[in-house]
Amino acid sequence: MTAAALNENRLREQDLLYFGRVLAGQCHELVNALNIAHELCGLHEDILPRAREGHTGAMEKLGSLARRIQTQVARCHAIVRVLSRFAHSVDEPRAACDAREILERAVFLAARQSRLRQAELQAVLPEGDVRFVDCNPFRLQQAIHAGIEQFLEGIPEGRHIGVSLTLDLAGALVTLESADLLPCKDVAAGRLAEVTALVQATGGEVRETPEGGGRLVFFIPHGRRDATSPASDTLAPGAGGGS
Amino acid sequence: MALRVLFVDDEEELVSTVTERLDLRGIDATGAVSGEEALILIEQKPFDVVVLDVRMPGLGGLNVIKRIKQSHPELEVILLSGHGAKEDVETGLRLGAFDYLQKPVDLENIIAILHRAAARGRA
Repeated sequence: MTAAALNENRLREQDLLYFGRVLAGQCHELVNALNIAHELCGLHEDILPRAREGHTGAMEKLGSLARRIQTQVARCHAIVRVLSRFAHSVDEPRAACDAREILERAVFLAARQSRLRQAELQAVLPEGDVRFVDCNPFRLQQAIHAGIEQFLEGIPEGRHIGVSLTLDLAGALVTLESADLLPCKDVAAGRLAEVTALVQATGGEVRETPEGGGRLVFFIPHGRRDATSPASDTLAPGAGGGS
Repeated sequence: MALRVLFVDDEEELVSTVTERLDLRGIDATGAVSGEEALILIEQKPFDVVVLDVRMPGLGGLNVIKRIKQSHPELEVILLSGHGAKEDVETGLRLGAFDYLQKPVDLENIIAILHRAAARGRA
């Protein structure tokens, strides 16, 4: 087996682990929301007899409970919607991707980990029309997510991480930064190697590593286009806005 | 005397709803949304049982149970866990937790286990 084939096998194993990790984390979030909805329904049942008996405030309480249940249902819908897009990101090894949507999704999927670290994770996205980048969508979001994890492991609890995206004719530039990143630990170094391998597998390159500067910057070139790509006329000069 | 319960979970909406439901059933329930808040409340007010989420931001459930068992060894703790937290639950039980419940949890199950835990605490 060639070195390239070995590397691809290793990446595929990593893909599967990542897929499982994301699913497990989001299942936990779904269970939390469903658990709350279940208890709110229970409280609704508890209050219902009081409302029937005409207790003051019971009807208003029922209305408030219905709205609180709707909030949890909306939370579940949001998770399922993102998970569905996430699952479909493995459909094509290379596709015209909305890099902005991928970055938003990676940030959404990392939200629970950020909450557990009490970190503030902020995405800065370019405004304007949808811009497409030809790449492996699953590995791009995995690279962004792994970068976020590297920062989460490298900052003290309760600090800020910024994730931004700049798009231009050449491709997409992803920047992760935190003023609070501590000197690179072994685990963070392992994460950096993971991010680098993923970025390279997407045809991109890591342009800045966080040692010292607190910034991780990687570039995903637009890559090839074909007649069916929706990207063929969407990248106008100067497009993308920036961070 | 009513059973005094401290319910700890970082999901504020879950805490307020469960404590309200327990109150309606004659249980004196107090809520906390972090391990740090739980430890403060335990020093301020007596409780019979603590229901404690294993995974929380900041001071996680396992650190909280360690501290509770050091300062209030008589206080019974029931762990609340999601799926896939088997190792954490085993560690929690070794640290002295009375039992554990897996989310989503039925309120009647919580109440039954609360009474069992409180009975052991009083024994």
